[in-house]
Amino acid sequence: MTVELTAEVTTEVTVPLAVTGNSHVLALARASRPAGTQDAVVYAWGNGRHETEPFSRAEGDAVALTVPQYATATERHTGHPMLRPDRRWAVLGPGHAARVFRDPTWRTHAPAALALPGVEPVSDGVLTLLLERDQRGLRQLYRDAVTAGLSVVALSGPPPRRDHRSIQDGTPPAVVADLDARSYRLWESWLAAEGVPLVPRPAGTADAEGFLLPELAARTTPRGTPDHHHANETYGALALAELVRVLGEL
Amino acid sequence: MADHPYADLPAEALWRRAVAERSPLHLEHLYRPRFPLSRETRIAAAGSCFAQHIGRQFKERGYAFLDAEPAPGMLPEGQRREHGYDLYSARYGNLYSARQLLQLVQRAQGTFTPLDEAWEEDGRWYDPFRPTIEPAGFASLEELRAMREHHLGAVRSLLEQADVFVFTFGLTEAWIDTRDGAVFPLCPGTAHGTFDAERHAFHNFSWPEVMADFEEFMRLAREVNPAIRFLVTVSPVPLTATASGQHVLTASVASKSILRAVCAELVARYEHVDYFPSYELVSSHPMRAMFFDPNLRTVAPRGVAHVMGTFFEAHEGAPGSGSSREAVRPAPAAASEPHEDDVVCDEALLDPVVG
Repeated sequence: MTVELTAEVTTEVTVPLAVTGNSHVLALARASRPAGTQDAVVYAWGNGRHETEPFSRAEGDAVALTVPQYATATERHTGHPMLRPDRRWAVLGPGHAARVFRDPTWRTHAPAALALPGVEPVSDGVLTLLLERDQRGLRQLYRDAVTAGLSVVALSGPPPRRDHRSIQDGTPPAVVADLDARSYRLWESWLAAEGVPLVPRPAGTADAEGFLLPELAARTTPRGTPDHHHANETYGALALAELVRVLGEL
Repeated sequence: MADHPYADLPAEALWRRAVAERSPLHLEHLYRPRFPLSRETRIAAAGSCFAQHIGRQFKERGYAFLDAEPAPGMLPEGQRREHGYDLYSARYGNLYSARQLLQLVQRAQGTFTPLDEAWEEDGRWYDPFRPTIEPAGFASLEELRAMREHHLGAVRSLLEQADVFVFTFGLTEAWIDTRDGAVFPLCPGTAHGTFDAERHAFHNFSWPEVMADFEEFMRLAREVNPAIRFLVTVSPVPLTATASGQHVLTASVASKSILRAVCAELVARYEHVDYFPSYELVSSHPMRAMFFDPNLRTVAPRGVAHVMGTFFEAHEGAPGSGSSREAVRPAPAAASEPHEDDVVCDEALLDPVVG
């Protein structure tokens, strides 16, 4: 596959932009910057494990981050530990429901819609509950941003990887794909209801089953260990281009 | 010394010595197990909402309590019971009557298919025979059918695996489909569905009906598992509401009396049936209603602890008798038993103030 690193940008972003979120933002931080994002601050605020519980609080026209790691990273990159109105904010949240699909639950259970033999079927209602529970911290952050009057968009995380550890450990790929797709649909409807623009996954980055194309997968973590979870900087560039496109349409 | 049958009766046979002169908390030999239960005994449970306490206690005490439909591991504890997980040995919800239990097994074995298959409300689908199992409803009729097929398979598997099936009788009153006699756990229209006076009829099961239903249930179960035994009990929880036209108190007493009498007859007729006196331990007058909540209906945690303590003491031996003290100790009420709110009692939906 040939990946275009430079996106076609039709609208310049004029307000300073900050792009942040969990470790998936690293792919964007490492990427070549498409036009419109050269001056953007792109940083990962920390590990996504803190995102399942509310970690934010609207304070006047800003949003405070109650996870010290997130606040510290934000201060290091923007000069202030809060999300403030002097920037537009793109916060990575929707998609890549890894916290859900990597749970050992899915070695014995599966979405009922898949009709997989030999496992316990799980209803749409229960799946929705599990996914919404996983999303609640990030949902609160977006809600706080809206309450504070910030300009915020929700940036999609990458599609799941077929070589993810959970699949190697026995979770069927169909379960991972199903949970990811459900999670994404829930995000789409929730964000639309809340009035938060969604930056979708770049087109053409996933295969027919919804998995990240292998050439867009990161190979090693920053510590040099094998990476089975994140996208690479090529994907990051495409995601930034998609971000620019959406911001241009607002 | 007089020579007559009452002359040498044991203390527990004499009201004065067994009850009047004893603390109600320390009545002896109220329950003598007919057959033992060990931690290797595979136990399945079903019944009215009081039966949830029994299942929980078996699990907490390390018994081989069967769970044919285990919850997804990552579903939070607080959400499991709302979705019918961890209540009984499968997700059948509350089975209040023997007819409901019998029809469940008949459905599982493919000999009965109710005409009322599903209820649709606002694009979500509800199972008429476990209408609260999915609080948000099933996503589609196809999902409902798939989950029901899996559920009925789980029921078959339970009957095949269980060494002992514990059933707590709850009610004699029920609502049935007039077309095929299918028994609903809740009156249609209370939780989901729409009440139709032409199709939905009240029925108050008589002693012969309850007896025959449970006997037929046992026959079906023993066809697939000849060694299975049954432990029956009666829920001490009175009716929330009655549709019988009687006062709710007299209706409750009539209902519980019928169920208690069925249990007595089952024990008398069948060696493979035992009775545990949950009802007496809570509702009989020597208990002075001390184990009920102020509404005199729901059983307070201390009552549940008393009942289950009596049960396990009988099976595991009294404290100090050489068995594990930990095993026989009644579960601390506050720590082990959930608040009444946590016991999923669909029947409470019948009270318009509560519902």
